[in-house]
Amino acid sequence: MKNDKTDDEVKELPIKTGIKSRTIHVDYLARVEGEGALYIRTKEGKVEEVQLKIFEPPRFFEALLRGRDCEEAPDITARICGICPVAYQMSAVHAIEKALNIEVPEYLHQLRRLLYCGEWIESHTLHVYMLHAPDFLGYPDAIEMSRKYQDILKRGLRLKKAGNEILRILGGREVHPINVKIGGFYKIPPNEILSKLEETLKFALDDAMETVRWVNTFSFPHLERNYVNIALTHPDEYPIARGLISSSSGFKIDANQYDDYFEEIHVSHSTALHSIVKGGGAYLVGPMARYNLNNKKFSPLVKEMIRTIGFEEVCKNPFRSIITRALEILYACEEALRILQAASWQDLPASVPFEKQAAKGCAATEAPRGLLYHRYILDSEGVIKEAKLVPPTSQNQKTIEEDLRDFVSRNPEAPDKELVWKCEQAIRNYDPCISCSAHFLKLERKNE
Amino acid sequence: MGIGNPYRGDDGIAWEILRTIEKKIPESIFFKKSRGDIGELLETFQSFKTVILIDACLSGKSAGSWERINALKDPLPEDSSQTSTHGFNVGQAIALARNLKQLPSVLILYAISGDRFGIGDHLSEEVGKAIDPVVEAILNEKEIRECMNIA
Repeated sequence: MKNDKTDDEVKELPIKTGIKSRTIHVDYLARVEGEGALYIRTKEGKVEEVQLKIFEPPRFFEALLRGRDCEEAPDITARICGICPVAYQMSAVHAIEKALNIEVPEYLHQLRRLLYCGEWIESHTLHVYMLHAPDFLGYPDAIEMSRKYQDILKRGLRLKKAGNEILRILGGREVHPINVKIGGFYKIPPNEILSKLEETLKFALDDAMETVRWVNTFSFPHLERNYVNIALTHPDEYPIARGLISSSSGFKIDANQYDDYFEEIHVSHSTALHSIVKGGGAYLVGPMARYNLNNKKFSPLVKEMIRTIGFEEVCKNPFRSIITRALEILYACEEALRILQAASWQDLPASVPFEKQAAKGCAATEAPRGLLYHRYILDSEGVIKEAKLVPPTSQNQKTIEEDLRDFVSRNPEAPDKELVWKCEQAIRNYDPCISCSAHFLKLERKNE
Repeated sequence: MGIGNPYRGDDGIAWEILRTIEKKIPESIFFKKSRGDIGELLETFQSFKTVILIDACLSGKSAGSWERINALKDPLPEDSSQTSTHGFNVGQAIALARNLKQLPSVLILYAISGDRFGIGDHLSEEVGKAIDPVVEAILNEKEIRECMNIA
């Protein structure tokens, strides 16, 4: 079985196997965005300690936002991430619009949903094809995988490009889109430009269906846990940018109740905060959580695909999350096409006017990796006094560590090399965006 | 094609070179400022017969030093930087394009060693000095001279 590390490199790593204890230490995780490391210590087959170490330096975006006009929030927060900027923009504008009592008309919500579909397509596709599939096929990376799977990689790149096209045309640019503003958009592209996406998406739909069928052929390590699934739910649609924050444990809340139900903890081994449910513990966000809470809201096409591949109604194996991700790519392609075909935006205003006031606003939307929560407090001029951003990867950190604890406990006899790789694969189940997750709870600044 | 991020110090050198060179080159030559998305790189390789890439790298060599590489034949410099999120650099993009048979007929890489890649929109002094010699070298490329009808 191929691995990122050669036998010599595994021997050189501090992977110490004593008679009764073992320590796994991966200094630098591959095929994840950002900088992280892994440390696991076992004794007599029992896991004593698990640490997903995030050493990505915090970038203090919450502090950067203080003193900025609220209208700058979409563009500033978009820079947090190059692969999920739309998610940051959407959570920002929704939170500030709630604060300022701005009612955005339904046609603009549909355009925002279209833009978000573009991001889901490109982000999920990149992860499935380039970062995660190599694990299942026994390759150290997509480059090596491409020697044998040329047509499959080309399909992935076509699909990613379809998502990028939506961002380019509607967002103004593929990376850090520039067309999103509070109240709507700066400009709605003419219908004849938007309609060009239809042809692209029709082909993308075929590629997306093949993607689901392909990942369904993989062999999946066994790991099943009962997660507390947290995601948005909505009465009328598979949630992307709107809905209530819902839990498989029963609660369903508005985003303005987030701080009553969740809390962040600073741990010494990570620059990214851990999130827990108050009075509870770790929870899961992301495609698998969304699927588990919302699969009845999929379109008939996606439901038929689920039935055809025999996918379970509740997925409890995080290694199988790649299938939920592929189903969401399929859904996003279909939903984007539906939005384009259902409406015309000719001559409609690109945004609605608003007044600034002192206020507080909270919102959550579904980034590709999971729930993304924003909270802003504004002064009477609309200047941001305080901002809180909770990305999905930091919310999943504790769950990832618990997955690793469980997986290693169940495989005490696994050879070191295989176990290291499977642990890294287990982390990649979550498509972690480590750069997004590194932020501090408090910043104290002293002027002397 | 200039690859980089103008808000990450020396990673902005490629865009700065493009800005300088754009004024001197005819419209028949296509310019692209890229942030290094692997799909964008591969699409560019497929769409053009000749591609000249400009990129900063973290090679350990002295800041501002640069080299011209025939990326179809010569080994690429060691580069521990990543030009895009999710860990793909130019070398990996080229390797992927090779495996997918999507390389252009001519692929030249100008790699400039950087020093500072933190947040900020200024180049380090040493790296800034590389702009003029790299621009001159690109203008002397055979394919560029042909487009400009210079013997």
